[in-house]
Amino acid sequence: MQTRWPARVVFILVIAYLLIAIPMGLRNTILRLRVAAKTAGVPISEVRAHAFGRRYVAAIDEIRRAIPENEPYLLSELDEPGSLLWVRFDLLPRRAIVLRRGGLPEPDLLCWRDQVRWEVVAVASGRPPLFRERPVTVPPGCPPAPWRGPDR
Amino acid sequence: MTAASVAANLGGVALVALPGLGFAELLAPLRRLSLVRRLGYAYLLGVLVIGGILFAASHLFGIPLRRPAIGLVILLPTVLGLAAWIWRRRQSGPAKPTLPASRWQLLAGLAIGAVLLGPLTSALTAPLADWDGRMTWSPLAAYMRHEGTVDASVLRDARWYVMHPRYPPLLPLAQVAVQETLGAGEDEQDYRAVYVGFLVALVLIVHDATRRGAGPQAATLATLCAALPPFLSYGGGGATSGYSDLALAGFYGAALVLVLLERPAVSSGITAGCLLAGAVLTKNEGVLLALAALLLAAERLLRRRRDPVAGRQALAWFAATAAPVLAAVALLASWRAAIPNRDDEDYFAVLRLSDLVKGAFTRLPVIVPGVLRWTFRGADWLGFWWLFLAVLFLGAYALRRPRVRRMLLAGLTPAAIAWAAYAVSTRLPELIGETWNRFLVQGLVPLAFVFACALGRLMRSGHLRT
Repeated sequence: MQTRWPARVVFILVIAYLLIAIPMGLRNTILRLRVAAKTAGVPISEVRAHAFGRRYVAAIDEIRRAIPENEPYLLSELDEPGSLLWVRFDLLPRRAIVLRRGGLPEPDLLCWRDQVRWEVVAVASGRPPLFRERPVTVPPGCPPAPWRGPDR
Repeated sequence: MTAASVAANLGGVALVALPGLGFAELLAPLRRLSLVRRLGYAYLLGVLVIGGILFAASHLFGIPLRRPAIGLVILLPTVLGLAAWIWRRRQSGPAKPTLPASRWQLLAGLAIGAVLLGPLTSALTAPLADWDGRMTWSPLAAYMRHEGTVDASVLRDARWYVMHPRYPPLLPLAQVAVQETLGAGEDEQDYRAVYVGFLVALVLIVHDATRRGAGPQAATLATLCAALPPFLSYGGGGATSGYSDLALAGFYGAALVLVLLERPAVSSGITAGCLLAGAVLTKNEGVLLALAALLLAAERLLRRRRDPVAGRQALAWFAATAAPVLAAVALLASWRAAIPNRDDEDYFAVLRLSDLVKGAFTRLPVIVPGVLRWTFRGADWLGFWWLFLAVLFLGAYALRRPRVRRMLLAGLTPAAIAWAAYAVSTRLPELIGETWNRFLVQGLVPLAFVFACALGRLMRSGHLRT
């Protein structure tokens, strides 16, 4: 005769799991639906400001207005590692050249670096990035960078 | 959240699902399934059709990633599938009605649907805020869309800052297709529901796999248990994120169902091969998972070699399975050849057998506690893996069936890949925290199959009925 206790133990475990997991899943859904109800009809700019901070989003929007999509920018970060990735995403599809600490950049990179007009510094998560326009020069011995037209 | 953004997101899901359903109609092993069981496979095939064809068209023929090409890629399989469906209906009359679901199955389905509504709502209301989505996958899509090509100059020049520039681009291409077709502007993330769709597809594939192995009752219970852990919905790698692990889990799991549970025939081989090609083009681990699936297929082939007729058929089946995988590997290698790698761990390059063997054992005191901590973390899994172990232990008799053992092996393959990565990684404790849960997700379909078989065995022996 087959023993039935393993089946009963499993039955109890499955029921216990479902009694915990289903209400938690439903609770998570209800919480999200509440947020959705609150943000219904709210424009995306407001949603971004709510999620990432009003000052951060305002700074990103200002940088977007300044840097055309086809122009690159120099990117670095202050103390919080990874904060530049956050800023880089919000400035896509603009291309970034990262200024790394320590070590000398490759000569090819040096040629490009001085021809980039914009510089962005990521500060920390939720804090507005710093931004400035830089003087542009073509270093001696370097060809004009591909994003710079021949007339510049 | 506006009505327009909700409509655009749901439209994005339809753009993926429709060509997938069309393609599935052309594949005999999927055509035989009911719509619900077919939908998970179809969704993944939709991603593969769109992303795979755009990948090849852009890289090999220089066709721009713009609306005309994308529209054609979406329309062609949709129309072909529809035509095939109409033709078949005329030949064979109306489709046979499927068996009605029991009250318990309907209740379980409703519970799963209600739980999955959470990540969908979250994806529609909150901007993308996860690490890998913002760091790797979405930037790749943005660069490709901006330049209109998979061979974007930003990838091919090492001076530009791109994290993981050689990661497989299938999902970013699907993202490009959705964003471009819908004309999404800056900050309009019309692709978010597509990522939630991967979880829905995964759950549907879990249901089909478990039903094949353990029958409808155990399958219902196993699918319900597997769909509930919060990590699948809200974790870093879950449905609300822009990660690719759910898609990889779906491709790998769906292919395993066809490789191990379907009769060996050319049509099932092609279908499985396409799904494995999807795995290869989705994530770096995909190549290794596809290799594991092909090894299991080869073992099945070897078992049939003594019978000349069955052996020949099995050989054709194996060749049909391997061919799409090889094509995907070749396409990926060709694309990567012009992309200098940077800002990437590149495990394949640093992997040395001596380091691997040494690290795999000497690092066990760090790996094991880390892995156990994340596997049994209540906030992520709600005790699902405790339940899994208990059911497997008490229903171990199910492991007497060879296909259950093979599925267990397939389900542990992602964990083996993780172990190898942890053995050589230079930042070990962090890497376990960042990746282990996602490796568990990658093996979810075969592990849920094993779970359902053990559960089914216990339900029969104990006369438990749902």
